[in-house]
Amino acid sequence: MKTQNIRTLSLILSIVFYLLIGAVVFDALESDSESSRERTLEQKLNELKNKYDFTENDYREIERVVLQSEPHRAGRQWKFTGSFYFAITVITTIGYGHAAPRTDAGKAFCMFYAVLGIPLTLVMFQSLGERINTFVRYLLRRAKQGLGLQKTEVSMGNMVLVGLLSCTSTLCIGAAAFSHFEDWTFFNAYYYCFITLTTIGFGDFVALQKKDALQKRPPYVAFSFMYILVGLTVIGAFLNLVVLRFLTVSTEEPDVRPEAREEELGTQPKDTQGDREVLEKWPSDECIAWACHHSGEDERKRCSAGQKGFNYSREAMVK
Amino acid sequence: MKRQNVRTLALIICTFTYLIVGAAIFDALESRKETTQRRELHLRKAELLKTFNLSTEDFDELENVVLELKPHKAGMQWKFAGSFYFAITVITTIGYGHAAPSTDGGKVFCMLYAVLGIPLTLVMFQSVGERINTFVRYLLHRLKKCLGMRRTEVSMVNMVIIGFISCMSTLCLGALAFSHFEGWSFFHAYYYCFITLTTIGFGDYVALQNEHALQNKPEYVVFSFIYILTGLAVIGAFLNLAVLRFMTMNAEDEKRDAEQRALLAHNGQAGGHIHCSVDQASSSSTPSVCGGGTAVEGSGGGSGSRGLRNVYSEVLHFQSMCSCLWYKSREKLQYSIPMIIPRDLSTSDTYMEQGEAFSNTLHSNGCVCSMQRHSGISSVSTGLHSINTYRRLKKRRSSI
Repeated sequence: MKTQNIRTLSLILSIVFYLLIGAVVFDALESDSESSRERTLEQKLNELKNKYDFTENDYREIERVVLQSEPHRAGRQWKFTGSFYFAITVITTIGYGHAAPRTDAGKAFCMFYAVLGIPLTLVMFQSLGERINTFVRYLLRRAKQGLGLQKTEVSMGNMVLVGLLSCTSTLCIGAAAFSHFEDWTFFNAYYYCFITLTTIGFGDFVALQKKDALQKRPPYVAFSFMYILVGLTVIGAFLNLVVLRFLTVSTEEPDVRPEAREEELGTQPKDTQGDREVLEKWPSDECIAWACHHSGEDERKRCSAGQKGFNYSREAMVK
Repeated sequence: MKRQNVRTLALIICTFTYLIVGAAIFDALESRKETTQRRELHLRKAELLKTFNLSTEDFDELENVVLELKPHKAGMQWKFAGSFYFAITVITTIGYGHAAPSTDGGKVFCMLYAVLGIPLTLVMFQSVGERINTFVRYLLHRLKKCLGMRRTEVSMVNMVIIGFISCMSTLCLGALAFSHFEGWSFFHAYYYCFITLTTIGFGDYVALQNEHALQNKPEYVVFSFIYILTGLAVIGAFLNLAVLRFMTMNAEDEKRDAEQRALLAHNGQAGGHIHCSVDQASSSSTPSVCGGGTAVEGSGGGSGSRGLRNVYSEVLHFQSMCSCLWYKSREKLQYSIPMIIPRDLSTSDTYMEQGEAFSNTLHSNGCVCSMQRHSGISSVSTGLHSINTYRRLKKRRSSI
């Protein structure tokens, strides 16, 4: 089977396996706590129902009012600031859900908004992330030169290390800030930053929802927005460094089966069929020898050393 | 300013503008309804307080209990089925929030789970998406041949149209299914599918939360999971086709710049002018510039991980050697790969201009790059080599 197919199949299997493991562990961690909490809450509810003498219908009504009031508790969600916050959660795909469009028109616009906004944002973060990586690489090289190190080129290991450090510090800075502003524990604030910057966005913890912050505390609002966008850039830079190459890997390899070459041949226009045939052939050793012969001095040296340089490159491509 | 920087700045400005415009429009669409609903609920609450003789503290207490009971109403969220559902929402970054870990241990594991799971899932979906695209391209190609069409190659536009149609049908299929199973309107079900498959995942609509479906309706549960994962693969395939190339643009420009610098540097050293060696028989070493510095730097003994970089420099190497062949092939490449403007090839244009005066002569002189020679194709194949590898490179960009 082709390498790409094997790779894809193994990835699928790993994900299924990963999901199964996750399910088992989450079950083990949360199920008991869930059951006991539910029991406690039901008990409490019954007490309250008896205390206030609610009928079932009464309770349904109260429940409805409470559930519908939930988003309103946190303040005006759809004024400009709130809408901007919402727009961020849409195009970055965080999607807390602390506010979600209620009108059908809002839902429809939200979908169109996402269709254009999400790719734009993806490309923007990757673009900016790549610039950051290049800049960091440059700085690191200068630092190495400045420190008088022997080897001044920046290795992948260096970059990954720097990337990890920046991600962790971004999360910690956010955790410190939000635990202060939102009155969460450091751990919960860290959890919030993590869930936000990985764009999972559960919505169990959401910033700017206390004390009408959206309307009343513009500096904190600005900070939160900047934090989310900058944090996503840092994570994006790290992903650009480490993960992006794997996203494009399947398509890089030439397909060396003879059938594949024929497929490609078949897709060319007839009038250049002959030329195509010519173009499709891999170079023979003869031609490589010719290439060596007509190359510069240095190359001839390399070539004569078993034609390693050229042969190697050919192999690299054939694989 | 460098292209990459201009591009990045432009994207940042675009995104900010997009956010501002979006915020204004959402404000216009939702604010009024929010105000009216707020007022109504406020009134209703006041009525309830009066009817049942509750104080505000009483009501707050009641409110808290109701809100905390909310996830429990939908069923056991953390038994195996619910946990699997949760795990999906974590690694795909959908993150509804209908269930979120309440224990600290759960939160810690969730974070660790995501750190490994999210990249794995990203890579998996892109891998599957690329396979799907390749398969669709193959099917379309066969279809075109079958229909006896003249031009049987599959263009980018074909692929984009098909991708778009598959996304739409996936959403509609899901909308039909969920509107039936969950009792939502078609529009709301479509909205749910859209928000899910773009991984936004608000959580205002969540499947498997009615009638304890997680426990009582296993077939529906399985369908939902499969739908979410397959739908994400379809969307992933479309993103792989249409968006992925833009995410690597800056990096490719950087690479090209580096190659150019290297090439110019070496040619500067060796005397600067480039043309194919016209005289095969000559064993002169003057066309050293033809050999090109990039080959020296690029292809020498590089490790496998630099394979692509080697290839790229090999390309430029042979490109300068066989400029006439290159020139001819460029036309053909442009024809079959319409989306990509071969910027890289434009560097060869400058060499071309210098070599053009020679190209005809080369051609008629039985230039090593001549197309007339058929078998063996020794000399031509060095150029072929580059063409082929270049096509691979282009294929990478165009096929994803």
